[in-house]
Amino acid sequence: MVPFVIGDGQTVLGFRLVGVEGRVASGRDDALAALNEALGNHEIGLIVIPERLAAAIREEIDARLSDAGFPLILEVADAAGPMPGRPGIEDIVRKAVGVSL
Amino acid sequence: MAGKHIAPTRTNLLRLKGELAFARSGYELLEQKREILILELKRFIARAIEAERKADQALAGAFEALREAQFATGVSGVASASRAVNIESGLALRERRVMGVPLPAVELSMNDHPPYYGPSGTSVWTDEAVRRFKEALASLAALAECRISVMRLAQEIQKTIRRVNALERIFIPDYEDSLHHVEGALEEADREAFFVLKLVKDRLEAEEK
Repeated sequence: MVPFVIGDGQTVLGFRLVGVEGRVASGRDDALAALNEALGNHEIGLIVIPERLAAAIREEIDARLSDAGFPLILEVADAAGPMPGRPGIEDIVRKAVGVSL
Repeated sequence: MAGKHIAPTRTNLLRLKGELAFARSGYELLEQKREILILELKRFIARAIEAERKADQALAGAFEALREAQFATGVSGVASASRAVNIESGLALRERRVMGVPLPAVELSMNDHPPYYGPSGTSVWTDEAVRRFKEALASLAALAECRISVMRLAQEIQKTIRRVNALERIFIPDYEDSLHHVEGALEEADREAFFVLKLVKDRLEAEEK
């Protein structure tokens, strides 16, 4: 299986430099169309999407989190750096367990 | 609260006892499930935090090199270099289940076929961008595995805790209340029946005399 990128021009271009295909998308409708297309391609095992774009289709991404199987969807920082206020690993753990482990 | 609506019969008493026992064993199982999930989560936390830090750092460096390359050769220069590069990135994906939670394992392989382009028209920054995006991609594969495992485990733990709490604070006390109510009513009925029997017996004896 292969990774795939949905994102802004810089992110898509950057990963294309290392042989990862991608699709440029901006805005909710565009991102959603790209996501559905990628989900329908069974060769794709990991979808990388910048956090700022992921925020526009938050529900659709979260809905897939607990589904078994592939592709996985991974949110990453874009060229502008990590999005302020994004939940880090420690925040996720604290929210689930109530304390930090 | 539910106890007041249940008819105090022996059938209901037996049924309530069965349901209470079932709720208690369910509670114990869920407690065990919660503990196993938390143990599993603990195994991932340190690795996930490190993977997140590495990925952020690698991406920042990669985007920086990309910007420099675009300054040096122009946006179209990098774009044409991206078409020339010949790297195949493949993923080997597996999945294992812990208490029903699917945990992914991601393995990335990159097949490199250099050189991709002649030295003219590209800059050292293009090479640097390629190198750094390779690193970034590798760090993302590691991050995908850890972060998604942590998120799925966290989600399942939250669900399990909610169920444990509902059983502990609502269902089990409710069944206990109902059981108490039915038992009390049945005992009361027994005493009444005994008293009536005794009354009848006394009267019969009095009549015989």
